[in-house]
Amino acid sequence: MKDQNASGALGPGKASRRPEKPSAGCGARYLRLLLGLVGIWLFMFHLIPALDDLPGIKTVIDRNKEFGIKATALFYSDIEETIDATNYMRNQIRYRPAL
Amino acid sequence: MAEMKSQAAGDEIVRDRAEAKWSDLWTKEDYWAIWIAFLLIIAGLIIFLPRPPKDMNEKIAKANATMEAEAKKAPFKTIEWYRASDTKEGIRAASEPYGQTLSSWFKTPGRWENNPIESLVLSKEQADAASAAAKERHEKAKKKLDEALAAATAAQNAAAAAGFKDEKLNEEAQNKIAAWREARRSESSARGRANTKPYNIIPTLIGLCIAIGLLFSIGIKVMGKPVGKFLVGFPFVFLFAVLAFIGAQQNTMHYYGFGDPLWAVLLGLLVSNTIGTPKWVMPAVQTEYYIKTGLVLLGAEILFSKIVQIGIPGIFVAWVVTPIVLIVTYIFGQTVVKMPSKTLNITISADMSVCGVSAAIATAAACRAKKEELTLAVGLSLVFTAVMMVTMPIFIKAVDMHPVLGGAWIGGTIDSTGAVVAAGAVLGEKGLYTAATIKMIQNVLIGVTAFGVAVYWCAKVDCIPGEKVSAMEIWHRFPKFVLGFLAASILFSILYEALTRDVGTAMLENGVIRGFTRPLREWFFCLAFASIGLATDFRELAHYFKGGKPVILYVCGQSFNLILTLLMAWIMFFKVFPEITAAI
Repeated sequence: MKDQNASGALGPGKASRRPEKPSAGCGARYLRLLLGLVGIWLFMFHLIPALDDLPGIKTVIDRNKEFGIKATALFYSDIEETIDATNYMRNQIRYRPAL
Repeated sequence: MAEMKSQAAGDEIVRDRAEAKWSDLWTKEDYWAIWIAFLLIIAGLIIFLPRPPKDMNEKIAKANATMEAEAKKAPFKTIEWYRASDTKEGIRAASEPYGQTLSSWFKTPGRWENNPIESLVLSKEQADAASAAAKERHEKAKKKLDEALAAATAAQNAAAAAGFKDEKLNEEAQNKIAAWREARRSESSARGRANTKPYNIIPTLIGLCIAIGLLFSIGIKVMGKPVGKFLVGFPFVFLFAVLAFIGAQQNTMHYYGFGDPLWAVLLGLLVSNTIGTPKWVMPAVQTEYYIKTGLVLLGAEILFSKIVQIGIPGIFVAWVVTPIVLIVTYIFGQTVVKMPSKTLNITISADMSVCGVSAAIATAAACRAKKEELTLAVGLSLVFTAVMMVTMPIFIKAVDMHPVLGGAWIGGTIDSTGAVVAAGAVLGEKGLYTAATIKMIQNVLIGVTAFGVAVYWCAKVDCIPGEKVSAMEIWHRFPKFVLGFLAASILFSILYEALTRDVGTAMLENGVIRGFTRPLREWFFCLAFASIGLATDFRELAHYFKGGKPVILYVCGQSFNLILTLLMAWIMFFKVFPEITAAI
């Protein structure tokens, strides 16, 4: 059994092959790159925007637009609304209306 | 760590035995990740802590006194209570002039619709045109805000006139105040767009590229790697990180949650698998180095006081359900799905149960998963996050679920925080804040998960079945950057409490972290994902996807997560602690 310490796991190493230039001709390789870029363009400007008007999806996306929500945020510190939430919850506990 | 091959339990099994040496401190990237990250953390503390916002303590004390008085006055949060809360929230070290100057140096590309150049450069004419286009919407939002405030004031006055004894009037006032808060958030966003300013971030991007390149080159040099070759290739990797940020900032992608990790990997893959990554770039493709440094910085963002933010229900929903789901999914993956790789299994299980991409990065680094496995886990997370972000609020609304329950469900199950906030916002302020809070509590689990996975892997996985691994051997094999990650978390958690939470929020969370370490961590992760894309063979990636096992694992694990989280949230928020739900 191999200790993965030696494998250079996330980086280039035994466990992960470094990409080699494909054997296809130069023209074919650039053509593939172009096709990939066209795919990205279709995804970004046609495929996903086509979902915008579907009922349900529209509600969420419109909210995101209205409040400027950064839906791409990975962690709590990447997004402004978590500051509001922290503040809200903390003040709610410390200064809870009690009448 | 030096490896010493040893024969064990038969001739076929050869195991590397690790040894720790003092020289590891300057020859291993695990340690260099710690040194670089702590250098930045110390720099951040030196910059921010001696420079608090003017009259910070007095303003905080005044706001707290107002909230205390208002809480005694009315049985609901009054307009004045909220205003005091807003004042306190506005006290941020990162908003001080020096903080803004600093943040301008870490700026990532801006938002754009059709022209990606606008992400980097926006002329005065373009900025004026954008402001003019947003002006009408802002006027409408402002009018709506004024009306909502007038209605809230009138309703609160009516409730006050009845001595806050009339339940109907109190409820009416609460509803009107909630509508005012909603209108306020909408106006704030519209105001930002109506005040679009021109910019050109190309010079700062060049400066940042040089600074980050030089920073990492110190470690490269001492570790004995070719520093010149690293510096030659680094701008290319940095360029891909910039392109990834540009992709993520396109308006549609931004609102659907397709962030920079996706674009960094995708664009890198596209180049490496078509025209090929140039050979001179490869010395700068240092995935582990960037990712580990980013992870140690991420440790500073993990503040343990977040755990108690919503009381015991939050702990149960985020800290009891999540580990159960993680462990059950991993066992399910090994025994039922028969995942071909344990590291892929745990990376997907952690990413699905804890908090998506950030948990995947931490877990993959802790168990030394292959970069293709991390890519696959991140891809799955991004796709399912987008689907759940849209479908969960639709379902919650359709069945008329209570916003606190719905928020807790969303916060405990959707992977990334941005998508949690987006889905929670559909449920209104209570749903949004509950969702965001549960997610924050879950975010803190990253450290525990990374540590637990690292220890488990050293003691149980990377060894011969049945072999008892000594504590020393575990130490030798342990990924040391995890210690830096935990140390940063403990340091900031202690500082946060020592400063008191209000000051800690203003100076650490909204100062050192959001104004300094977090933007850098964002860059380092993006560089890591660009490196992954540039060094990955697409055929290798397809190999891991064979049989659709990763998808089966994700779907089964997430289904279990959805059921268990909903059940726990219902028990905690409605059966055991209904008073907390009522207070939210």
